[in-house]
This record gives sequence, C-alpha cells and structure tokens, in this order.
Amino acid sequence: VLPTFIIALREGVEASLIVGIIAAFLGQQGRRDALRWVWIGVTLAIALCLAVGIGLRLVGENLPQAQQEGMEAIIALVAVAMVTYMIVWMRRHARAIKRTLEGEVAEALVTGSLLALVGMAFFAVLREGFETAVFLLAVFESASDPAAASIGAILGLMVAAVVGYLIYKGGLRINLARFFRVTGAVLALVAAGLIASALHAAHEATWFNILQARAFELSWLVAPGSVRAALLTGMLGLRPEPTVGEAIGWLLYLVPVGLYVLWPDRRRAAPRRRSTVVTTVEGTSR
Amino acid sequence: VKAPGTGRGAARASLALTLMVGLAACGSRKNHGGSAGGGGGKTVEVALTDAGCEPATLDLAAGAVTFKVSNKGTDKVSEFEVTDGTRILGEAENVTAGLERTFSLNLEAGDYVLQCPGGSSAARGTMTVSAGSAAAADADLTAAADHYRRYVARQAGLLVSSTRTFVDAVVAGDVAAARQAYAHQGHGAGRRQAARRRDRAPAEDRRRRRRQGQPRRLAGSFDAVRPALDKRDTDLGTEIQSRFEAADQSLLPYRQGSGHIADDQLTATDIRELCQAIDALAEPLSRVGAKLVAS
Repeated sequence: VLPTFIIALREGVEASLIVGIIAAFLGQQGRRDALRWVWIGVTLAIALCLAVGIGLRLVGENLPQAQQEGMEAIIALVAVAMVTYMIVWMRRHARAIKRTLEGEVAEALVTGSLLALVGMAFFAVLREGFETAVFLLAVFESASDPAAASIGAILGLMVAAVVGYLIYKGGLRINLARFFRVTGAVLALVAAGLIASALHAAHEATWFNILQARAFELSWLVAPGSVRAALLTGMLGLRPEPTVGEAIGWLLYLVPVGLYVLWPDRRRAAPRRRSTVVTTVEGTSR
Repeated sequence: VKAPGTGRGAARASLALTLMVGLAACGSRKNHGGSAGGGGGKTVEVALTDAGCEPATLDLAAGAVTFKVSNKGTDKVSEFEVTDGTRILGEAENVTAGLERTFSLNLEAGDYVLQCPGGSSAARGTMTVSAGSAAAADADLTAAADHYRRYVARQAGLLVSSTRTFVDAVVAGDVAAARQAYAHQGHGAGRRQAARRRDRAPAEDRRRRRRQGQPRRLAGSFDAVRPALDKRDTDLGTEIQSRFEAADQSLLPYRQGSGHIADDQLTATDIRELCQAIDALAEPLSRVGAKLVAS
C-alpha cells in the first residue's frame, strides 16, 4: 500500500472519527438540524487548513512544528472532555432513552452544549488538517512519483471520510439503550486513545518530557506503514512503541471511566433485579 | 618534546598564539555567520532509509543548523526527530518517498539523540555538537577579542617607544644608556622581538626575558577569554586558573621590590622549578584555542 495513503488515512481518520461521533450523537438526540452546522464547521476548517497550507507554501515557510503539536495536544484534550461528557450523558439518560420511543428526544440538549459539539467538529478537523494540508501539497509537488503518491493521499482521505460516515450511520442505527455499555466502552477506548495522542503531541510540543521510556512493544499489532496501524492509531491512539507516560495516561483514564460505563446500575437494579432482566429481554426481542 | 629552556618562552608565546589564532578565527567566523539568525547557518542533509537515519552519527559545530530531511524511497520510515534525550527539539514528520522537509535549530554544544522511528538498524542515532562557532557565544568572543586587540596595541605602542629610545642610544654610541633602555623595554611580545632583533645568544635572551618581563599577574590576558571558554569547558578554565596561580606562587620567592630579582642570581634548580610551573601551565593553555574554534 502506498505510504501516502496510510498517512492520509491516519490523519483523516483522527478527524473523521470525532466528527462521526458528534454527528451520530446529535442524530441520536434527534438534532439533525444541528448537523448542518457541523458540516459548515467541517467545511470551514478544511478551507482554513488548505489556505494556511497554500499560504505557507507560497512564502516558503514551514509549519511551526512544536506549536502545531501543542495545538493538537490541546484539541485532543478538549475532545476527551467532550467524549467523556457524551459517556456521562448517555449513562444518565440510558434509562430514559430506553423508556421513550425510538427517535424521540429524551431530553433536549442545552444550546450551549450543542454549540460546543459543533465547535468540536470544527477543531477536530483543524487538529489534523494543517499537517495534512501541508503534507498533501508537498506530495502533489515533489513526491518521487507524484501521480501515484497524490492518488494514494486522496484515496486515504476519502476512505477516512467514509469511515467517519460509517461511524455516523452506525451510531444512528445503534439502539443506545440496548448497546449503551458497548457504545460507552468504545467511546471510553477512543477517549483513552485521545489521552495517549494528546500526551504524544504534548511531548512533541516539548511540554511533556517525563516518562518517555518505551513502555512496551506494540509493533506486532500496529505495524508501521500498514492500514491496520493507520486505523488503530487514528481511532484508538495506539502507537507501535507507547511510552510509559502514554500508557499511564491511557490506563488512568480507561480504568475509572471503563468501570463507570460497565458497573451495574446498582441504584435501581438492586431492588428490582428481576424486572431489569425482563426489560432487557423485552428490549432484545423487540 | 620541549627542552626545559624553551618552556618559559613557549608558555607566553602559546598563550599569545592560542588567543590570537583562536580569537582571530572566531572573529572571522562571526562575520561570515553574522546572518545566521533565523534558518540560516549550516545545512545538514539527512536521508531516511529502511535502516533509519542516514547518517546515524552526526558531528556538528554549535550554532544555527538547518536539517534537510529527505526520503530516498523507504516506506518504513517517514519521521526524523532531534532530541536532547528527553525533549524533542525539532522534527520532520510525514516525509514519504521523494519528499523533503527542512527545519532549523540553534544547537548548543552537547550530545543529542536522533530518532527515525520504524527504521531497522539505525532507528536511533547520535549527534555530537561541539562548541565553536556558537552564535550565542559570539558576544563573549568579541569581548575577548577586543580585549586582546587593545592589549596587543598597547604592547606594540610600548615596543615602538622603548625601541626608539634604545635605537637612539645605540646610534649615539652610548652603550650604558642602550643597556638600560633595553632593560626597560616593554613587556611581552615587544620585548621578545627586540631581543631577537638584537641577535643575542639564546641563553642570555631567555634570562633577560625572565628578569624584565614577568607580568604581575600571569593570568591577566586569560581572564578576558575565560567567559567564552567557560561556556564550552568549565573544567579547562578551572585547570588553567589553578596552573596560573601555581605559576604565580612559584615566582613569589623571587620578588624584590616591585619586580623580581635578576635572573643571574637564580640557581639551576630555581630555573628548573620555574620551568616546570610554566610548562604545566602551557599544556592546558595550548588547548584553549582548539576549544574556542572547534567545529
């Protein structure tokens, strides 16, 4: 597979994953009207990134790497907060969602959080966009085989967009009430991966310099240059050689949030354990 | 292998020479590298290969360096990082086959680690940056050079005026006055050159030199270059400092009034001891120039 495809796929998926999750969440909440704003935000971000990329190229400047990584770290941490918010929201409302009819709004999203989600989509694209735009333009101009390299890069971005779209569609189709724990666990994994990515970017921004020893070897799973690696790195933040700091950050997030997601709903489940089982069975048979 | 007799002269001469050569070289380098502020300076080409970084060992001079990272066709490596062991100082990412990326760093002397993640045998490399044309140290070197330039000018002035007195006396045939004028000739280089000009026997030449010329504190000229040296190698500066003090100490027994006793009163043992102190000083001093211009 062309290396430009892999890189474009990885960078693209990192952005489209967040956008897909946001779109699916909004769709689940019956706020498809807000989706339009998400697309506008994404389009704006893409345009901005291309403009910056072309601008830098015209004046012959490099992207300031450390600042770029710093921005990636901050946006990744904001994305962690957003995904965590979604997890908590779903957990709180899982029961309510369960009781209402499909597609009906369980509880209206506050306008503030709606805006935050739209903004998040914008920043998620911005996070990877600058680097990707610079990379794309460089590939168009000066790759050893520009045609093949360019096609690879564009295909990579298209596949990334498809992945984002599938996440959106799949997220819409998921019965949140039924699959809440699965969805929540996946989101917790995504957010933990974002923590690791943020720590990695923070290291490249020279903000986070401790615990940089290699924790363990993951290259058997995340073989550099493979499609699988591009997807695993892009979606779950897994790297071939995680550092101790990244591993600790990943665990520190995943363990408590994972427990929060998977812990049985004791408060209500305890007194009416049997009826809960019945509800679940009913839900499954529906 | 120095004969003991040449040691004394060599000490002073090497001090003068190392400072002169060192600072002159630094001075000129500064002029050439004056524009090396943003992204200028030296360019180092690094290629990404299946093995990793090519070359995997770099030896550079301190100062502004531009890394030109190119991928010669590997699919396995697409990133090049310069770290100080923990901190990433600069990097080029997503350099796929045929691409080339540049970034610039202002490097200080020290050991660095290069990283080309994904490479096989050269995924890590080392970079040694030696002090030298460091732009940061230029101010110190300029100050030291200025100090030395003033010193040389002063000595040259003294030499001219005292030589004139001496020549006048010789022309007038006044041997006594000529002797006295010669004895009072300036210090350092001036006195030596005058001595050579008079074509004296080497032994007498040396003796005269010692009698007339020991400066009150030997370390005078060294102090000017010390700040620049300390930025590169504090140990060397400390060593030289202590050798200077030892040399000063070895002269103490021969103090007389504001100067020193005449050298024809020295015994062979005295001379050998003095030579040893000066030789011990000459050795580390001879390394100063190399430190200052190392690249």
